[in-house]
Amino acid sequence: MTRSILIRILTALLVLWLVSLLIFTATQVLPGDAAQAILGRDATPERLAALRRQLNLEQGLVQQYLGWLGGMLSLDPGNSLANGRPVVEMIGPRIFNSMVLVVLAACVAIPLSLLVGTVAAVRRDGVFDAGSSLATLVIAALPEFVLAMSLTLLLSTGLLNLLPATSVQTPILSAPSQLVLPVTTLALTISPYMIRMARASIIEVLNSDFIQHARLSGVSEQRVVLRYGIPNILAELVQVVALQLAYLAGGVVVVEYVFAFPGLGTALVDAVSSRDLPVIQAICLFIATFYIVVNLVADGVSALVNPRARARGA
Amino acid sequence: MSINTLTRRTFLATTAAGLILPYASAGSRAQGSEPRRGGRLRVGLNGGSARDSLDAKGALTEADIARQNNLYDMLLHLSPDYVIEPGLAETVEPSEDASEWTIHLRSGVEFHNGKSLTARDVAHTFAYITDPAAPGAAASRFTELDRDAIEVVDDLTLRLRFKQPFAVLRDLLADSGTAAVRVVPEDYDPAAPVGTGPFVYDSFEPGVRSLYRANRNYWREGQPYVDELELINFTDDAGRVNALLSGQIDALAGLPANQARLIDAHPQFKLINSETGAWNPFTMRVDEGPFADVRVRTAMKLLVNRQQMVDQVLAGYGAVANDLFARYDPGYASHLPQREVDIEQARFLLREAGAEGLTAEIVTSPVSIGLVPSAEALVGQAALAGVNLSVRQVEPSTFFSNHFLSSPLSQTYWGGRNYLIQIADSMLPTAPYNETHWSNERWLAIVTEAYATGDDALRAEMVTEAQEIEYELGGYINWGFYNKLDAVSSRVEGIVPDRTGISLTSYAFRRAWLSS
Repeated sequence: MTRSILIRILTALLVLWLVSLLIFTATQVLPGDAAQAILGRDATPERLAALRRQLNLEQGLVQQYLGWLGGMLSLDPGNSLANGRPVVEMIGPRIFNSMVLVVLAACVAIPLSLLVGTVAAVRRDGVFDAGSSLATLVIAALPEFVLAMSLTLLLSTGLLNLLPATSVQTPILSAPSQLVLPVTTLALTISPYMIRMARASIIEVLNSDFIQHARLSGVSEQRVVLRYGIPNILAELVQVVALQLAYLAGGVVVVEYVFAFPGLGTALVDAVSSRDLPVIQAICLFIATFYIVVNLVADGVSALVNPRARARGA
Repeated sequence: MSINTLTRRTFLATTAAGLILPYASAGSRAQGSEPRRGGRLRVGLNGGSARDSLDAKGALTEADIARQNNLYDMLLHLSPDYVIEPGLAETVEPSEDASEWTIHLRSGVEFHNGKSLTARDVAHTFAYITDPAAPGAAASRFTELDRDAIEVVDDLTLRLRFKQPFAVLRDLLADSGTAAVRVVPEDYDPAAPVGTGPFVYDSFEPGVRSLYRANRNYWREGQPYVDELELINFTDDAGRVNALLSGQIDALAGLPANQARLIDAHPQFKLINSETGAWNPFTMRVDEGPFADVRVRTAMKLLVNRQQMVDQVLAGYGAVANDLFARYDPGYASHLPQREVDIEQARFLLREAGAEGLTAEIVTSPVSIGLVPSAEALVGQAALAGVNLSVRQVEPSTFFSNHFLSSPLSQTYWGGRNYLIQIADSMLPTAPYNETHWSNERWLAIVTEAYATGDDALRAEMVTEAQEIEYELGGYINWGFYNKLDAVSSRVEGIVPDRTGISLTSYAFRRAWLSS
């Protein structure tokens, strides 16, 4: 057990290192450097030279990368090229903001999906099942930004004027109502898959022999679903949830952009356009770490809720 | 407007002024009542990133200008109808040949930290923005300034010496663009920015927002009216408009033209429609490639349907231009005939030049209003004269590092500044952004003389003459001047149309108040 955990952690570190190498190479392929990107049209040769000196961009590529890697090993991702502030100070609040969105979206989407999926499975082929099936298909087919704009139009700027259309108040928790639209959008984005998965799994479980046995033994239908149905799909559910959460860490970019939300996604878009390498690296590595950790945790949780996997692990 | 007889151009200008009047009178009607004090004005700015800066040396974008125009003051400034007015300087007077200038400061002005403004601060300001080790945006405009000979005559008087006659100093000091001269104290530290402006720094998150408190010790009597100013960044047009519609902000800078009619018709919002001299032309390189032949350049200018451009690209919010710029310059060559579409003549000139069926690529990027749409429109218009154009759109950083200043056919964007300061940026041999690679000896002789001419009327004549040369030979296709469109909530008063091309009355929020 400890050995397999150790191997997974080492693999994760290797993956992160490869990611950092890949990102560094990719940013070098982009035309222009940070000095050029910062000054834009105002890049007179004199200002460009002065800024390059100031940002240490005159060093060789290998030297720049090794300098950054050395910093990372001592847990210091350096300073932003765009404004000289420490990267940690810059993206710390952004990570918090994005995580608030992701966690809230998950807190809404997971129970909702489980509920809708279960009801649809129990009342299979009924009106609710048909309706929810149609709705999930339609929502799954809509790109996030269409969903976001439709919600804005519906609830904020067009039909009704209930909610703020953008999330510009900082700190973000100071005006919770501004989180409603982005969280709803994200929750709606990830729910369809979870609903369909929950429905299919529960149907499968409800058709299995041991459920038939329980029913024949006189256990009430409600108890059958709650006591035997749902617990048996948890392992599978955790995997799907993990996949969706991992997706959210990256997919949040579009939604943040639409709502002018000060999160990781908008910071990443900004950093790429500034060629702000330390910030790009830090954000990408954070997202990669998030992916890896969520998957690790999901595997762990699956094992805990699944007796067979638990037995294998021991 | 013009000393010439009534031409189509002056007629257009007069009618355009007539169009502005209803807005102007709406503003003055409101101004008739006593401005209400208090409240927080929340403004949505166009753009914003981690690069945002409060450093008086480092304005790079319009969002930077918005912040800095409220923190700092300039020595002179432009009124909304483009007249130079005193700012921190009461007078700015040239010597006979305009190579030496004396600046006399207003007395009793204090910085936000309570220190009095003196000539030493202004001397430091010039030294700061032209520092060769870390030059600011204005540095390239003041290369002729003798940095070692800035003389503090007394507490309120400063003398500047230039290596060459420099008749444009007043224009430069009044320009509130990225290369503005914003006055900072001797012990200036950009990390804790102190100025004399109407608002005092409170907090700043680059790319997100900044907050300011009213400077209750401001030298302009009675201003500012609001207690707090909050400037919020939006990188997305739709987000900014949505924030206004849902009441999260009170004003926004840069309204997309396709939203203007919606806002104008809405009872809760006001459209601020500013006629400006801002221009976003096509640039043809005159030194090499297909456009080195003046006949090809003239053909290109003749195949442009300018009215169609204004209607399609600007949704009608703009005015047709005649390839020239600086329309509010006293020397603007308004007597030259307006170029109209002439496909026959364009084809003839191309044939003459051996350039029939010319093929070229327009390199463009969405860095300012209407660049990409106008490039697309030009493709269709050029096809009528048998010219095969194609559009190559690249992202901004790529545009500036790989294409700007080098592509044979591209685009640029400029505010509506007076002629002699515009050419210092884009046409003189020393200009940092000579997109068309312009060089012409006769023209250079005229403008060089103009720089050495202190007499305003005489200088204006020289500008006219220079523009006549440019009209025939220049590499710019300037098809229109765009209106700057902004929107405010109906409770915001004091924001009026402004000719400078800088949004929301040049972001002078000292003028604004909230009616309820």
